[in-house]
This record gives sequence, structure tokens and C-alpha cells, in this order.
Amino acid sequence: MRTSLSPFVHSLTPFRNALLSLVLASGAMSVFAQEAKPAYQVEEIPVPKGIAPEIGGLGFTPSGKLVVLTRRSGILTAKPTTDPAQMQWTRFSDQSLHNANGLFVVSDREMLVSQMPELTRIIDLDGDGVADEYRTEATFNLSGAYHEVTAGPVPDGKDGFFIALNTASHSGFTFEHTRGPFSEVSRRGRNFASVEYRGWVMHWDPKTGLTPWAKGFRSPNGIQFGPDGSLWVTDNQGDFRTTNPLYNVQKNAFYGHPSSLVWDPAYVQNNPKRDPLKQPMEELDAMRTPAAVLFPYGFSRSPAEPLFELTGGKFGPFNGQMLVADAAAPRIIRVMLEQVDGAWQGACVDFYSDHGLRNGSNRMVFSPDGTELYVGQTMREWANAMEGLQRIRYNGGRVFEVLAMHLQKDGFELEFTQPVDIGAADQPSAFNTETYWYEYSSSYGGPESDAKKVRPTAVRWSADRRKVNLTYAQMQSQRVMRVTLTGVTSNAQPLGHTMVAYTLNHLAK
Amino acid sequence: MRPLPLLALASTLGLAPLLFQTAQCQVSENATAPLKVSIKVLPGQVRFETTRFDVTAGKPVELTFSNGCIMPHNLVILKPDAEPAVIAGVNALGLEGLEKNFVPEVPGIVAATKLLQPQAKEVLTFSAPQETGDYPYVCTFPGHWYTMRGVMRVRASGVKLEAAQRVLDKPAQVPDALKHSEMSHKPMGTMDHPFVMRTFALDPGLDPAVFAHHGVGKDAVKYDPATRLDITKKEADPQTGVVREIPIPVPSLKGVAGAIAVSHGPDFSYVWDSTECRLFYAWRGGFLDMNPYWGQEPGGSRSKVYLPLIVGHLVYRASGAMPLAEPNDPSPVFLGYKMEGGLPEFRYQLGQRVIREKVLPSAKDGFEVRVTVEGGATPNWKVNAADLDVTTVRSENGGLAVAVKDRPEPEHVLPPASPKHEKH
Ligand SMILES: [Cu+2]
Repeated sequence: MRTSLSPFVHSLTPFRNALLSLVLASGAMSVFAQEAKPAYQVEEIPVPKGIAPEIGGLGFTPSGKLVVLTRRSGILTAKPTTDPAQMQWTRFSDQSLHNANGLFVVSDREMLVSQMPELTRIIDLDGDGVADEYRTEATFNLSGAYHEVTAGPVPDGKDGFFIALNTASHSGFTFEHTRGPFSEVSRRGRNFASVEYRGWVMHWDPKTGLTPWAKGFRSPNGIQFGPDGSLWVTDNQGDFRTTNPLYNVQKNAFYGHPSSLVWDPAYVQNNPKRDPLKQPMEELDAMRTPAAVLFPYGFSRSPAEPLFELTGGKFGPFNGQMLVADAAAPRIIRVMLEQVDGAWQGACVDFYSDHGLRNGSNRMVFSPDGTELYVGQTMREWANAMEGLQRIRYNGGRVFEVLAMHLQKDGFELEFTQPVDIGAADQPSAFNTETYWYEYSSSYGGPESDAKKVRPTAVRWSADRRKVNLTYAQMQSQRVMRVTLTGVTSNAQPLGHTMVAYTLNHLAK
Repeated sequence: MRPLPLLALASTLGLAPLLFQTAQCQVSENATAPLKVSIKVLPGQVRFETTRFDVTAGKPVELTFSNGCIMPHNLVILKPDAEPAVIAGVNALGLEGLEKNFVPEVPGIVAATKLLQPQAKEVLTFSAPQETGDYPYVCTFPGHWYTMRGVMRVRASGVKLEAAQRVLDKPAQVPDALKHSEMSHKPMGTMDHPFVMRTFALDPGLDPAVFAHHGVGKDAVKYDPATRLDITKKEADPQTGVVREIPIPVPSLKGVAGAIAVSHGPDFSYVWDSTECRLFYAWRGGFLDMNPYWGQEPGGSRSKVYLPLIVGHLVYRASGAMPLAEPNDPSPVFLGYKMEGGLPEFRYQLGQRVIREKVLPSAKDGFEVRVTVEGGATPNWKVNAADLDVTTVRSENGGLAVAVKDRPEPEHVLPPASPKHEKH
């Protein structure tokens, strides 16, 4: 090494070493060829004229056709093509469903769809590619408020499905004649549940029909059943929701938005006037199950469908992790979950943001080969139109991101997808951390309270430079710890997404 | 080294959505003095702040490159088609690269800075090429060139130079696809191929008896989530003048929550209710204007009173109890519908009986409702004294054909008076 280069030596040595090992392994050229394209790439998928591209559900049929459920323009199918503009679309249904917002593809000829008034099985009886039967499997009560939309059905791993039912918003009205009995008590409220099972997660199967499963939801616009049999629901910031949460849903549990309680006989206890809005916050707080992950509001303005990445590496290095669509920002979030003290909690980080992604992502599905993530957008209930269909393709390129975040007794272990360069990342200043909490409150949204800035007291890298242990002076439960990674590079390339927030309900034992 | 197709590269880089803004005062032009250009690095982003600048062919250029990043970078201006060869040259440098500032000794390089360490600056003076065209500039630190790039445009003498283009931190929003969808908010079917729509529908003031199996909605009052109390306003009592705090009312709307609206074209439309499982009303002269509910076409916001408007005039409205119900029947259960002979055939359960019902359209002078009971029993259609529009009920193919005559009403049913409702 020449002395004239000495100012560079510190930061460039890891690069040199990496370069050397790559030259030895495969020759440098292939490395550079790989570098020349981004790992993930967004493509716009045009749908035929006359169709409102407001996507309420996405799926694939067993024969590999993409199914696109629109909120008011029926159902489209098409075999994906390399050039998305060449897709040949067929209208499986040209009828207008009522704000359809959940899809499960049973077969090439049969779809299970949730729309505002019901769960509908839509069947092509004669095999001509067009649905003939709209069979009502279960009906949902409606107050007449525009906000009482659905999420799901998601299969429960057996013969049944889970469906989430939104509450109504005070920006809408109720009708003089409601579908289902009306509760004056629960008509009060910012978001309210004036008809039965609004704000609930329901279970449906052909034998038992529709049954209530869990309560306390506000605007649960995302539901997913995990590969391990766990049920997940995202909800939206608002009254009794200081920020946007992700819940691991247990049967009969209460998730904090009280309006739905009037439809729980165990809560009402023969007192139809029992009013959860008048119950002290401390009592409601004691009843509720906390969120597994509290998304920082800057991360997620409106979380929608969660989807597990189970492509086994076909879509990059995040197999087994959860992706969450965001309906109010050009962003898809990645969630890194772990069980601590018997409960799920974990961290979130951006998976993909900006760079061609539209606002309004609502529903997602992986292509059968796992290399593409189809993303459907709609946010007309909440804001300006932001509607459309896109896909994100994994090009097989190099991804440099935080791969995992594990709670330790005295801090965190962060794992990276690539070895990290020696240098800035060895300093505590590379891991500036904010810790704060979200108070449970009836107000519409709320601040990060009791915020403090801390730094790790020690930074210890593994020999392979892929893992780092961060030690903190103090670890507290009921805190979110948000780490901003600065100057963390691999082969001199910056980290893709630099902010990771861990929801610490339980301390490591 | 496989040559990099530049056009394809640019399109795969997601450069299109970046928001460009023209920067004033960044390029200064003077007849004698060199053209001054200043280019910075966006810290931590592996991008140049300036993505395009113009120079005049053959004229001197003074380019100041400053590296405000934590990583080392250079700036290398290339001839229009030289990029693949230069990048191959960088690759060929191998471990020598660092010492050579990652600038290979190959043809095609117009000008190059050294590899600048963080916070360093270099002024590059050179003559702009004589040949006009687009000259890319990149950082040749391996891997940086795919995001760290821009274009120097060499313009002919006398051509006015445009201001430099800078990339801002905030990317542009990807446009909404709805606005160009040509989605009609006044959909329409035909006599043979009806358009079937699940929607909220207007209650045009139906006999309340037809809502027998609905809940009774009540007006509400405004509520403040922060205090958990009702919101009140001050109002003087008209008699006594005493000012009191009174709750702010939120009225309820006249709507049908579980409606199925069917259009057979401009001459015949109807609303069948999936909660009561019966025909609610029929009209002629148009279908529905969905703008209040779907938002002003193509992508506007929902109206405060978000009920579709009926286009045309009613010719039938239901009244009284459900004609097929027996005294001890539980609430009807809607089972869905099948498209039979092009028409929706509704299916519902009344007690133990499963009933199929079809509305046969006609362009004028009445229409028919066909009902059958699954299993072959004859339905018992009770002609309601109030339901005067039903003229005849006759047996037909094991079921009943119920003829309904038109009772035309005035054109266009107005929506209910707009409730006063402030936005949150
Ligand atoms: Cu560079």
C-alpha cells in the first residue's frame, strides 16, 4: 500500500478484501455486471379501458392465471407475460361488486370474495370463463356508513376462513333502516360499531357459518394466516390507535378499540346500556392485548395486507418474513418477528420505497414462481385517488439490508444480508437510537411520548462481519427502539433502508 | 464484459419517477470566461445532485466537483458510446483500480477527476468536445455508476443552454391509473345483458313496512374522541332567548344497504333488496348516476350524501309485508343468484322454503316477476291491498307469474335533503 493512499486505507480495505475474494471466486466482471441493475424493479401493469383499477384482491389460479378483484369493476384474469402491456385480459365477472376488498382463489372456476354486504362464492358453472353464480355464503351487517369494508377471506389452514370487518367512520352516516339490529350505544364514537360485529375478526366455515373470533378492531384492512398457524391483522391509526399496529390475533381477545364490545355478550352481561366509550381508559387498557409491532407513523400511514414471503429465496433473502402493503405511502414494509416470553413481537423496516412504486398499495400476491410480487393499489376511501396495478420483480441481484433484528438481554443483535465494511459501522454513532412509547388514548392518533435519544454502549461485530451486537445501558419494556443506521456500508455500497424500529413489549430473559 | 445497453439500463434504474427541478444560477455563461458548473454528491445516496447540464461545443468548462459524502467518489465524463468500454476498463484494473482513481487508460474519456475522499473538492477545466451530443458522466468507483450518473449535453454554438437539472430527495408520485381508466360512473346494461351491481341505493321514500327485517337506525350526535364527550354548540332558545349548549345532531340517511341494482338499459331498471329478499322498486328512463357514491368521474371524492342518484322515473315501488311470507316465518335468508338465460335469478330461504325469483324486464307497460319454490310446492303470493300495482298472479311452469303494471311517477326522484354535516 502506498503512503499517498493512506487517508483512504481505513475505509477501503474491506472493499479491497472483498474484491480480492470475489476475483478469486468468480472473476470481477460478473460482480460488476450484477451491480449494474437494481435487485428489485417495479413495473406498471395496465388493465383494459373501462375498468376502474382499484384493487381489492389479488390471487393466482392453479393454472397460473393472475386474478384481479376490483372494488367496483368486477374480476379480471390474465396469464402474466414478460411485457406487462401484452397481458390478455378476460373478465371473469363484469358485474359490479360492492367495494370488494378480499379474494381467495379456490380454482380456475371459483373465487371466494368479500364485499361490503357479504362473503360471495363466485363460480363459472359452465366453464366458459365467465362467472354464472354469485352464491352468498355469509352476510355482513351494514349501518349504511361507507367505511364498513372487509379484509379477507384468508384460509384458516382447515376448511374455514377469517374475515375482518371494519367499523364505521363518523365521516359517514347510518341509514334509517340498517342491515342488522342497531345499537344506539355503539352509534356514538369517532369510529363506531352500530351494527353487529363491526370491529370484529370473524371466522367462517361451511359447517358452522359465520362466528365471531376476536374484537376491538378499528379499521383492520389487512389479515393473513401465517405458515405456523398464527393469525395476523393490521389496523389503522385513529381513535384508540395512537399509531398503526400489527396484531397477532388470539381467539376471544380484545384489541383495544372499544366500540365492538357492545356485540360481545360476555361484555354486555345483560346490560344493553353498558357503554364501553364511558369505561375508564385504565380498565380498557387492562383488557386489551398489545400490538406485536407498532409501526412508526413515519413508516406506515395506512397498513394494508400482510403477506408472508415464502418463496424460498426466489424473491431475495427474506424468506419467512412478513411484508406489509402501505395504502398511504409509496412503500412496502418488512416485518421481522420473533417470539419473546411466549408472545410475538419484533421490528419493522422498509422493504421497498419510492422508485416507481405507487401510493395506495392494498393487496399483494407472489407469482407462482416466486420471483414477482404483484401489488394492487387503492385508497379511495381515505384520500385522493391512488389506484393501479404493479409488480415488483426480483432480478437476482445483490441486496444489502438488515436481515434480522433479535432482542438480547442487554440490547439487540442485528444481522445483515452482506458483510459490513470496517469503519463507520464500528462506532456507536452508526446506531443512533430513539426510544419512545405510544400511550393508549381515545384521541385520534398521538405522538411518540417520552422520547429519548440513546446510543449503544458497545458495538461488537462477528468475525464474518454479518452480525453486530449492540449493547445498551438500559433495556425497558413498553418501548419502541428505533435505530437509524448511519455509514453502514458493504463493499462501499450504502444500506438500502436505514431505519429499523423494534417494539419491545417483553424483555429477553 | 457484456456491454451495458444504456437505454435499458436507464429504464431499469427507476430514474423516471425522480422529480427533477431546474436549478437557477448553477450554470453561468459568458462569452470569454469558461462555463462554470458545480456538481455535488448527495450524501449517502450514491447519486450526483446534478443530473444534467449543458455546455457549448469547443468552449472551455470549469467544473467544480465536491464530495460531501462519507464514501469516496469521482466524476468521469465519457464520450456518448464509451460507457461499456470504460466500465470494462475499470474492471480490468482489478486491484490497481484504487491507485488509478478507477480511471482506466482507455479511449472515450473526456475528463475525469481524481477519486475524491470525503469532503474533498476538485476543479476540472477542460474544453467541451467539438461534436454535439449527450455525454454521460458517472462515478467509476465499482458499482456506483448504476445510480451515480448524469448527462452533459454538448450544444452547437449559438444554441441557448438550459439550466442544469438537479435530482431532489423527494421522488415524484407515480400517477394514478384510475384517471385514464375511462370507467363510466353512469353504467348501463341492455335488455338481454343486464348490468348487475351491488351497491348502496337510494330509499326513495318506500313504505317503512318493507324494511320489516332491518334494524331501526337513529339519528346521532357529534362526538369528540379526545374528550370522549358529545360535541355541543351554543343555541339561543327562540322563546326565552336563554343560550344553551346543545348536541350537534347527525341525521340518518334514506338508503338501502344491501341493494342489488340491475340495469336493462335506459328503459328498465330495478333495485332488489338482498336483506328483505324482494323487489323494492323499478324505474324507466335511465339507470343510476354513481357520481355521489363513486366520486365525480373519473377519480373525485365521494359526496357527503353518498347515495347514487336515480335517473328516470319510478314505475313501481313495493309496499306492505312481503307477499310470500307466512306469519311465522323467520327473517328471509339471501342465498345469492345465478345468471339464468342472461337474467339474475335470486334465491332465498323463507322458513323451510327455498324460493327462486326473477324479474322479467319489459320496455314499457308493466313487467313480470316469476317465482318458484324449490321442491315443487306452489308459492303463495298474497296480493297486498296496499300493493295495488300487482294486476294478476297466474300459475306458470309450477311457479307463479306476477304481473305488475306501471304506476309512473314524476321524473327523477330527488335524494333526501342534504343533511348538514361538517368534515372532521
Ligand atoms: Cu462514487
